[in-house]
Amino acid sequence: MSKVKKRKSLNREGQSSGIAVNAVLLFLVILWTIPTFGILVTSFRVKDNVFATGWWKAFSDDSGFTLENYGQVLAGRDYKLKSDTNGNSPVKGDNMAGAFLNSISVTVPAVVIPILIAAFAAYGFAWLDFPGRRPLFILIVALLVVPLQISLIPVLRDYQKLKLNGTYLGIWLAHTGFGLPLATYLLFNYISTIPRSILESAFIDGASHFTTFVRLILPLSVPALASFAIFQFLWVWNDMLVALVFLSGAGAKMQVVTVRLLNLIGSRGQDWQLLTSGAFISMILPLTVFLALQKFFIRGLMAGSVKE
Amino acid sequence: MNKKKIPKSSFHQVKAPMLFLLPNMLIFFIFIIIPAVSGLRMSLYEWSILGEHDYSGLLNFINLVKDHSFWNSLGNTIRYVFFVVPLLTASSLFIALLVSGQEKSVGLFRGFYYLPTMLSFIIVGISWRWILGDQIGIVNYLLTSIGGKSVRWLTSPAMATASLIFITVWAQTGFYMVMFVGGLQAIPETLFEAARIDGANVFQIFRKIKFPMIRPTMLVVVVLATINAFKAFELIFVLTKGGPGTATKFLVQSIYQVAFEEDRMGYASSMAVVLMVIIGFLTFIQFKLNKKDYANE
Repeated sequence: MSKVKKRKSLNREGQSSGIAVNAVLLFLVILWTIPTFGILVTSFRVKDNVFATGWWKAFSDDSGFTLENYGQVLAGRDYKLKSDTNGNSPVKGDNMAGAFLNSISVTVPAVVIPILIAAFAAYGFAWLDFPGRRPLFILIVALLVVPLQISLIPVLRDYQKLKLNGTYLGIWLAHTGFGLPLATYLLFNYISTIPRSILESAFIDGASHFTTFVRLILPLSVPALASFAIFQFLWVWNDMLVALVFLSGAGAKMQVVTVRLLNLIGSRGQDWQLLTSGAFISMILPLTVFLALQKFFIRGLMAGSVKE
Repeated sequence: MNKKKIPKSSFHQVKAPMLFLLPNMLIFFIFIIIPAVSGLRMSLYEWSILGEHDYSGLLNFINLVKDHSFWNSLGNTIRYVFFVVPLLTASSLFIALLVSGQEKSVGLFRGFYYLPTMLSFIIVGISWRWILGDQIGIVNYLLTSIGGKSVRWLTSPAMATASLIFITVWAQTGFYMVMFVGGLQAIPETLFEAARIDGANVFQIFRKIKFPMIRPTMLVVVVLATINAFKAFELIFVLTKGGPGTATKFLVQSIYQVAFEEDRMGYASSMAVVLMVIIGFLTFIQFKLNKKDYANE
């Protein structure tokens, strides 16, 4: 804790420079947030206004703001179907709850599996000596360069043979495969910097590699695991290409949020106002994950364990 | 990169590494190596999705050399990468330096910079059309309302490329910022204390402590930014669809069109092979340069 305090005093070396830094930060944040702010404003606007004027005119509109877009995205869109017999009959569209559950079912295992597998491999590359260690590692880093689009078709062909197409297992494995080079690379960079004195003391105590990995390496690597978890979570959560390729065989019941959003603009005309409210709802979970995990970046984890 | 020497006596093993690496290698082979090899093989064939597969040797590559649209998209891609990578690295490092502290307020700022990376590319595309669009964009609205001329940000060749570079930097800075913040926070506190006792100012601390200490992070950021810039596709597709004309048509889009719209999988694969070779070569150079710099210190 004392470390944190020292750090604070360091940052506030001069009050004036602190204010300047904060002013720059605030200015940049405002600039940075304008595009997202535009989406937020649009998500509360009435449909007709969205197409008539830019979002910055929303504040001078007479019709003001509405919660209708959020209601329609959450509870299902109302469609007025014109029929010859009863005039207009309202029809409820699909809501997004199912798509959310699908996205969560896809994302959580697709984040956890690659992290575990990559951490195992990163430990192997960083701390075990074996023939072919360097060439193998270089191969993995080199494979970061393979564009995802190239792998999709051969993998899809194999999936159809194995009947993995349109299954959760199939998309978990696909995301694991595509995320693995980056995960292995990032975790290796971190795990290889763990002071060797820590590992040596574990081996002197007679710990096996597996015990060392589970009891020492994993807890010490939390910052790196957290940052990769954030990246992978976002990547899978926002992915549309992989979901379209591997899950569309399963039809609407396995549609994820991004695909559902795409359908909002696609099949039912230009429902951009729904797209914007849907976008904000779909950001809640990644934002929560980011805010929850960012505290793990806090330094001192490593330093503390060496001294004690 | 990893310069530690591991003494063979205590660490030399064969069985344990096999177990630790096995799951990784297995998935690697199935999802990356085998598809890459089959891509390599396809580049030597005339290959359509349903039709015949005829071996054609290096014909695809010979045709590539003569293909103007290939050179055009390669040039566009390289120009984009050339600007995006330094700008993105600089902006994410600059912001990371400002927000690497532990205070609550700074954590909140980090969240704001990170926001754009949380948007899916359709949303990013739409939000920037409302900013840079010819008729519906706020920038042109403001320009004309103060008596200026409206600019065709996304529909004139030169401006479209510049806009794409700018929007990429906006959309991805948060991602690399997180990496730099991690690197900066891992610098031991004692170094700063020592520097402060010696009376070092902010710039000296950056030049002598922070910059050398985050070099490994910098390498990761530059390598990833380069690879991602070469693979850029979705954002461009949403914003300009490669236009106006072919001014912002990049390599991955060309590959995609040749493969799926023209059904020339073999030719598309040969383009992908060229892309892989370029990225692989650049990554190799970046690692080598980094190593050399270490040796000089």
